[in-house]
Amino acid sequence: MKLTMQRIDQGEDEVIIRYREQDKRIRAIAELIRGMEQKLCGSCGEEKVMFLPEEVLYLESVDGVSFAYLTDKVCRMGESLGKLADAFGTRGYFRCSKSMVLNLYRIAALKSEPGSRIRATMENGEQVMISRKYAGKLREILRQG
Amino acid sequence: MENQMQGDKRAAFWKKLKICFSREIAIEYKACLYAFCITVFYCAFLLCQGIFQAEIGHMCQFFILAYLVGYLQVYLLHNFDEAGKMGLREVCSMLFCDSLYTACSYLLGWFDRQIWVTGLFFFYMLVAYGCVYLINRLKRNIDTENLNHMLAEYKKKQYMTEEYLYSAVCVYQVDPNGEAVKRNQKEPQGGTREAAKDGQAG
Repeated sequence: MKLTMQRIDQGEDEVIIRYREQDKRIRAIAELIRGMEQKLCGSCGEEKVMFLPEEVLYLESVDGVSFAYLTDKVCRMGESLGKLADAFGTRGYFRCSKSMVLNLYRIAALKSEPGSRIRATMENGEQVMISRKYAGKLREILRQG
Repeated sequence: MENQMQGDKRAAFWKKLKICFSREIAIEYKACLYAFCITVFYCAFLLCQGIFQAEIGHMCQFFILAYLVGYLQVYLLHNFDEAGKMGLREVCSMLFCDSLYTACSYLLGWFDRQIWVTGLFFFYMLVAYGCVYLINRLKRNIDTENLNHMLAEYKKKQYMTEEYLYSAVCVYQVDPNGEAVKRNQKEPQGGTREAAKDGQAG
């Protein structure tokens, strides 16, 4: 596969993928480019903040309002928790309870707890308890890879 | 609106039923396990006396008592044999259940009301509880190790996908004169997540 990059003085950055057959690798490249463009928008106090889905440690819903927890800030989101979990399910977002979605890539460690529950320690040290119902789903996701 | 309320009530009822059912299964497992432990001790007691026949009545009592104590353990004593750590509450619960078994063994004459055998039975059941607690803890430790291994593999796959993509291509760049110049493959441009964050993707 050949990659050609051309610097332009004006106009929008564009990626054109030419292929004979849309195989797994071409689809992965397209997903990667698409993913780099996709950003989330939240509000941190009065300020509007844009960030990548990968920057989110976890999402939590409180009284119907979703909040995204990043390493250094908490942002209020406009979308619902379920919508965000569905949109970024392939990017490591996992629903661990009715009101919480974890980013699997930002989990530092997992620990098996009594009652078939799992305790997840996030990269910022926060601990989240995953109930039995969701623990089974988590195991399935990790097993499938 | 009324249909939705009825639906919610039905869902809540089924959820409670599932929880009860799940606890019931846990109690059955515990009852079988501890009844088996008592049966082993009882058989050893009889064999030591050269007796090769056991009383069915006693064996039924083992299972019924283990079942009742199982209910106690799950509903009132916080399932202490599956606890994360053995604190004061768990030790007291263990001693309480053990005392219950010992008292019943004496009252029901399982060991012919012999004090020293009853005392030995008390320590035996204490060891049994300790072993069950340790086995459950070991099982969780193994599970923890397995979970973290799966998590590491899961995370690795994403990075490998990105690296694979960039290692699979020959990188060329078109210079201002329109000529394709081959770039160093070890330095792909904008391929990492950090580069994407910094807006260098392209």
